[in-house]
Amino acid sequence: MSGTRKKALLKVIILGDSGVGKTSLMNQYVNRRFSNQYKATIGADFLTRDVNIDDRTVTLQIWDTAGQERFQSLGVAFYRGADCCVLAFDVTNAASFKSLDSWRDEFLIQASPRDPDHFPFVLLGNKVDLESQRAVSSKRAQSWCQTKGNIPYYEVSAKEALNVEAAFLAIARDALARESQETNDFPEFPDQIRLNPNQQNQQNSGCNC
Amino acid sequence: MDSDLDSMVRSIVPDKTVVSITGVAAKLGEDSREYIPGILSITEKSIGVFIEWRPSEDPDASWVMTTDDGNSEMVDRSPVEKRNCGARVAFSMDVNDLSSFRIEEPKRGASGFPSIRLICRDGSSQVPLFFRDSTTGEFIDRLQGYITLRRSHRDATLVVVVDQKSEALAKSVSMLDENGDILSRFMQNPYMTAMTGFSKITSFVQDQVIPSVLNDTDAVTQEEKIRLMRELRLAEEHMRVHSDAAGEFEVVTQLDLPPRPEIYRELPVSKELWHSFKLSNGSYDPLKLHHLKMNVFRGGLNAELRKEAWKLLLGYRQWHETDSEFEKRRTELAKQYHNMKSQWMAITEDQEKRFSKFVKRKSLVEKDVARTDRTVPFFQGEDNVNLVHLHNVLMTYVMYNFDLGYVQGMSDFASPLLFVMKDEVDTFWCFVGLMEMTHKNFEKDQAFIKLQMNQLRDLVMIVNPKLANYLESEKSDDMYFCFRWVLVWFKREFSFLDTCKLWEVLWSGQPCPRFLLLICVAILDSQTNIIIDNQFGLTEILKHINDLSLHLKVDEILTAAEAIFHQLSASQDKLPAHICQYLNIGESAVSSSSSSPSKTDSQREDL
Repeated sequence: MSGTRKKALLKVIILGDSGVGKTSLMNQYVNRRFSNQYKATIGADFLTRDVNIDDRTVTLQIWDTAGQERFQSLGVAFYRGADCCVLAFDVTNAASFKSLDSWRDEFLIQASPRDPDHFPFVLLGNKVDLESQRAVSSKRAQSWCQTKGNIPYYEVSAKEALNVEAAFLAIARDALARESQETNDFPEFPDQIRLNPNQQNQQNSGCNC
Repeated sequence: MDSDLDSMVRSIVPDKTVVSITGVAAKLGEDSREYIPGILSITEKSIGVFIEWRPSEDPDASWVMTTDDGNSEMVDRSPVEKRNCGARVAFSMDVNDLSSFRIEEPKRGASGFPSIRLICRDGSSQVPLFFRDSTTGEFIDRLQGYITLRRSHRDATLVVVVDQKSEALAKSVSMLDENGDILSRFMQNPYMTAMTGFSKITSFVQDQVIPSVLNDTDAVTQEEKIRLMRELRLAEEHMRVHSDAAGEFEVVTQLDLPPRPEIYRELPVSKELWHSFKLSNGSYDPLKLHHLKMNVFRGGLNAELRKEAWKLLLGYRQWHETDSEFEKRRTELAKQYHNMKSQWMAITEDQEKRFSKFVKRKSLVEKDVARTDRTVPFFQGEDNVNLVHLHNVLMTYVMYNFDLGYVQGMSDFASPLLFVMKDEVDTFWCFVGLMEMTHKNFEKDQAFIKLQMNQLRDLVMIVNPKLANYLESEKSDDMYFCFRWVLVWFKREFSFLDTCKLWEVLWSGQPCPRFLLLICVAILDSQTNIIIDNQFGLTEILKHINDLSLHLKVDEILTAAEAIFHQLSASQDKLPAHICQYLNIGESAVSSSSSSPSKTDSQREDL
C-alpha cells in the first residue's frame, strides 16, 4: 500500500466581485452541486479535491473569499503560498469585468509572489448559461487576457456545470507545471514539462516488454 | 498513457472490503433530527485504504427521527428525497486523511447509540455516525490494522491518529529550538515572554518530549534519547536561572484562575414575567431594569415576546417611554422612514447612469437579499414578499447612512429582525438600533474588527494560555479564523432561532460589555484538544472553526462563557488592566446603567 506517498498540494485562490459565483464555482467543481442559495461568503473558506494529472495525484485546495473589497486585507495570510489565482467575473455584469484589474493588483500586492510578472492567473467568465443577458463579449475578455501576459480564459457556467471541470483541470496542470519548473535546479532547461511525456514513454515501453 | 496503465492495474486488482458494518446511521445534519440508515465499511483499493459510508440500498430501511421526548419515529420522505439526502451525506475517505475522531457513548442509563465523528487532516469533519446495531469496537479494531491510534490524555472522547514516529521526533526537536528562542526573548521582556513561554515549555515537555521519549522506544535510538533528555535538562536549568534573576518568578509563572463555577441557564422570560416589570403607563420601572435585563441574559425571551422586547433591547423604544409617548414617536419615525424610502425609489434608471456609487450599493443589496436565509421558511420560494421588505429596509438604510452604505453581513443582521417584527418600519428602526451596536464592524478600515481580534487574543491568553501559545506557534494568533463570528455575531454558526436567542442575550448588555468575545473564548476553549492533538496548522484551524457552523449548542456555549466571566471577575485584581477595561470589571469599571448609584451594588450582587 502506498500509504506514505506524498501528494502535491496546489493552493488556488478565487477572487472577484461579490456575486460573480466564486462559491458556486468552487462547489460545482468539488461537490458537483449547484445551488442559487449560497450565502454571501464571510471571511474565507476552502474545499479540496484530489485530481490525477499524468502519473501524480494532486490535491487542489481551492480558496473562496469574500467579494467585498474591505474584507480582503484581513485574510491575506491565506493568500501566501498560492500556486494560482483564479480571477472570476460575471459575463452578464460589466462592472465585475472592470474590477478585474484591481483584483489582480490586489492579489499581487497581498500575496507578493516571488515573480509577479509570471505568476499564473486564470480568468473565468461565469454565467454563460445566461447568454441573452451577456454584457461582456468573449473577445473583450480575451483581449484583456492578452494584455496581462496571455493568461488563459475560460467561459464557464457553475449552474450548468459547463467547462468548470476542464477549467480547473487546466488550472491544476498549469500550477503543477510551474511548480516543477520552480524546483528545477537546472534553469537552462526552460520547458520542464516537456520532459514528462518522455519519461512516461520510457516507463511504458519498460512495462510492455 | 501512464494513467491508462494505472487504471488498468486498478481494474485488475479488485477492491477488498475488510469490514462492512450495517445499521450505522448518519445524522442528516447537526441540527437535524433525522438519521439515515447505512453501511460503514473499510475497503482496500489499489490506491489506498478507504473508510466509506453509504446509505442503505434497502428502500424500506427505516429513516428515524428523534422527537423531543427522546423517542424515535419514522420519517416521511419520498424515495427520491431519501436517495438525494443519502447521496449528499455519503463519503469515502483515505485512512491517511484521517486525523482523529471523537467517540461518544450514550450516558449511562440514557437511551441512545454510540457515535463516531471522523475528523480529517484538513480540519474538516464528517457527519456523526451512530452505531445502532453494534458497538464501535469492530470498526476501531479494523482501523488499527492500518493506523496507530491513541486516546487523547486530555480528552477521553478524542482518539488521535498517531503520526509517523519519525515526524513526531522531528517536531519535538524543532520545538526545542523554538523554545530556545523563547529563553532568549525572556531576557529582554520577562513578563510577556513568561506569559507566553512558560506554559509553552511545560506543555511541550508533557506533550512532546515525555511521550516521545517514553513511548516511541522503537523509533528513538538510545543516543537520541540521551540527547533529548540533556537538552531538556539544560532548557529547564536555563529557565530557572533566568526566572530567578528576574525576581518575578511568582508573578509570571501562572495566572491561576479560580475553577469555573457551575452555571445553569434559566427558562426564557415569559410574557407574564416581562409584564411584571412594566408600569401601568407602559414604561418600565427604572429600578428593576437591571433585574429584567439579567433575566433576559439568563434565559433569553419567549418567542411571542420578541416583537415587543426587541424594540426596547435595540433602543428603538426607550425604557422610560410610556405607550402613548412611543406611539407618537413611532408615527413620526414611520414618516421619516417613508421619506427616506421614497428618496431611493425615486431614482430613475437614467439617473443611475451617472450615480455609480448608488448603483453599486443597490446591486450589492439585490445580490445579498436573494441569498439571505433562503432556507428559512419565512424567506423561502420565488416572489416571496418578505424579500421585498428586506430589500426595502436595507436600501432605506443606505439612504439613512450613505457614508457607510451597504456592506456584506448587514443582510444577515436585518433578516431576523424582519422575521420577528413582520413590519418594514419597525424592522428598519430596530435595524438602525442594531447598527448602532455593530456598524463599526463594517467600516472600511476594519480597525474595530482588528481591535476585537486583539482583545480576543489577549483573553485567550489569560483563560487558556496553552491554546494561545499553540495558536501563536501556528501563526494563527491574528485570530482571523474568528472573523465571521465577530462580524455578524455568530449568525452563520447557529440556526436561525438559536441566533435570535444568542442575540437577545447579547443585547441585554449583561454581565459585561464584550460578552461576545467571551463566547468566542468559550468556543475556542472547548476546541483546544481537537486543535492541539490534531496538530492543526493555520489552514486546518480555519477549516475546523468554519466547520463548527451549526454544530454548536447555544446553551452550552452561553453557560461556558458566563462561567469564564465569573472566573475572570473573581480574579480581577490579578488581571492586566487592559483586560479589566475590556470587560468593565475591577477598579476601572464604571456602572454602565446611568441612573441610581445603588445600581452598582445590585449589579455586583447579580453577577
